[in-house]
Amino acid sequence: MSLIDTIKSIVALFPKPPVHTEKDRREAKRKIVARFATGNLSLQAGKYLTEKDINKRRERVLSHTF
Amino acid sequence: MKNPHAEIDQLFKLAEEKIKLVENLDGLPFPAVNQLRYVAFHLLRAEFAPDEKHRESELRKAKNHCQRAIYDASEIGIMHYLNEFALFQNDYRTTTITDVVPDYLEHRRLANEARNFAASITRKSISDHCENQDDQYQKSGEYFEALRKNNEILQEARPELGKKIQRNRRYFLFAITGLTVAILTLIVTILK
Repeated sequence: MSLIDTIKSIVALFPKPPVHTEKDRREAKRKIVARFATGNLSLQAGKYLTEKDINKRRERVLSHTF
Repeated sequence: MKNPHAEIDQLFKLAEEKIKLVENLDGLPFPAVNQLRYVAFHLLRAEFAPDEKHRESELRKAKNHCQRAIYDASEIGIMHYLNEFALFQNDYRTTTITDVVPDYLEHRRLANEARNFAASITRKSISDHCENQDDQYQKSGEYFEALRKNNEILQEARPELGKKIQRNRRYFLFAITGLTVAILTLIVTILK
């Protein structure tokens, strides 16, 4: 076993703490919706807007001066 | 007085139309679809209402939810096109746009007007308990349509503005090359 492999195996014992961001959670939800949706093509593609998405964009756009 | 069912039918169709438009832009808008779900709920309650007063009240609520669905869908459309306008402004911030789009200032005025309109609407001012929200839903639909047309014009202008930027870059490059050659010539002349 080379020195690099030894270091790698020691580092692997102390992994970084898992990070689950809001974005990850949203993506996971979208995947679930896309998987189980039937009928509507947009939902099957995971293409939908929730109240949260809308409010977020609303705030961003309304703070802009054209 | 108009037949309430006919009115609701007309508004429902309009709401569906707006929702379809928004669905093609950004995806299925759940808040607007939810409003239509409430329309069905109030229509059923109207059907089994104990008296005429309750029936009228339920029908009014159903109508308000239709209007709210139209507003919600239109607002998403307005935000979409305002976002597109902001991207356009950012993309061509160093170029004079009025050369290619002569009424650009009018587009900008409309964007600001639509933005102020959306900002003035609070969640409380438009709801199923509201007595008269006709103006708000109609206005939102008008802004949605006007911004959609504006966006079409601005997207059409993109290739022309791209050519203009390219031309300006070429002139700038020529100027820099000319200046460099002139400086080098001057240095060589002095050294001789």
